[in-house]
Amino acid sequence: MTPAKGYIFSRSFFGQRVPQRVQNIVVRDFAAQKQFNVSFSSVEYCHTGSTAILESLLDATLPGEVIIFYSVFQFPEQPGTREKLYKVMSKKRVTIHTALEGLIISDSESIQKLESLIAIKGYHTVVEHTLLSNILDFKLG
Amino acid sequence: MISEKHSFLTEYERENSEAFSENGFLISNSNEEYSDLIIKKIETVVANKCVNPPKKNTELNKIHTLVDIPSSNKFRLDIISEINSDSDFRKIYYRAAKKQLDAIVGNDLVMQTRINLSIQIPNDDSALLPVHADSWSGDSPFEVVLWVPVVDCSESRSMYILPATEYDFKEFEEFRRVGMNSDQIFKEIRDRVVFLDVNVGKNLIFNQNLPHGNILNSTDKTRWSLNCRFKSILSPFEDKGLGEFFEPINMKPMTRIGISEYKRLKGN
Repeated sequence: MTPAKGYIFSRSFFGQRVPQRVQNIVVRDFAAQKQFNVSFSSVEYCHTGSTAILESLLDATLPGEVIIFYSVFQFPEQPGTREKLYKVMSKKRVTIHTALEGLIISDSESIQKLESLIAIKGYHTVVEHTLLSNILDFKLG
Repeated sequence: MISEKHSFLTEYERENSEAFSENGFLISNSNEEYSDLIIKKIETVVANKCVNPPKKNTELNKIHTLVDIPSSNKFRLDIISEINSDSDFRKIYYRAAKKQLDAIVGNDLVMQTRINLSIQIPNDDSALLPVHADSWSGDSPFEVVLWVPVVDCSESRSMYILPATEYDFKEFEEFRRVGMNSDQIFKEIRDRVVFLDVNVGKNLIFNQNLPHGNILNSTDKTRWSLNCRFKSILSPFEDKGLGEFFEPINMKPMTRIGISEYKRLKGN
């Protein structure tokens, strides 16, 4: 079995919150199906936008190894931070799998797909937030 | 009144939009090239799974002579897994009905990540789908279902739908309020549902907000049909989320630019 490291969140992402236990179950189930041996799952800090744990995880990952995210929407929200991540992934030949969506992020084509998903998700999150604010403004105003 | 020649819609778009809006479904000819490729793919996959496989799709409706009811679900899941492992199959499926999807949903779409297959063997009560609307269980009301027959489908060897002309949201609110189960709801509407005749080479696009389902296949032939959901990229998602259930398939440049700018302008 190929060794792999899990990566889960302790905060919400794009308006979603998933219990860590559920994230762990999904990551381990995915790993079992794909014949990956997950030693442990690292939990990202709860602070908004933090990627500290992900950076440490990448530092500790050997060339050619695999990281399994619970979801594609746990990639850094800031485009610049994602760019840096792609460079490290390329340099170290690290592949990222996303357990919930079953995506494999490894080359420019898959990065383009990932960028489209994040852009659309970001748009919908902002629209929902704006709509909610407008409703609250209307009700409270 | 604007004359027809100045309408924004082409004659094809107008006719099909009107038919879909009025009935809640549209049955029309698929693109022949892609429709044939869909059938050939299913034939090839089935041929690899049977000792004496059917020679062509017209014989798939006799699959119950080769696969018994207890084995049929695994047989079906194996085929689903195989067709979805072919990265071109979803493209072929979309292209078979692109013209109709353009007219009814738009051309900036997300598509379900997996295409489903229904195999309904005669008298198999394990494959029944009680009356439901997909939007009652986590689908966005903006989705349509593209349903493609692999064999000729009709009567109980097909699906039924309550046409838009017969649908009253308040009636179903009342069914829920009094606590009716799905069998009781079906009894209330069974005289008003229509079973859809969809032959090979045609496709069905239906409004999944309308109650639909199937009943016991009491014919002597097996039903084979594929289904997959589509919606506009910009319309709201529900429980069936982006990435896990839907993927963008043809995002236009200005949509890509617009969503990034919108986030910058409105986001934090």
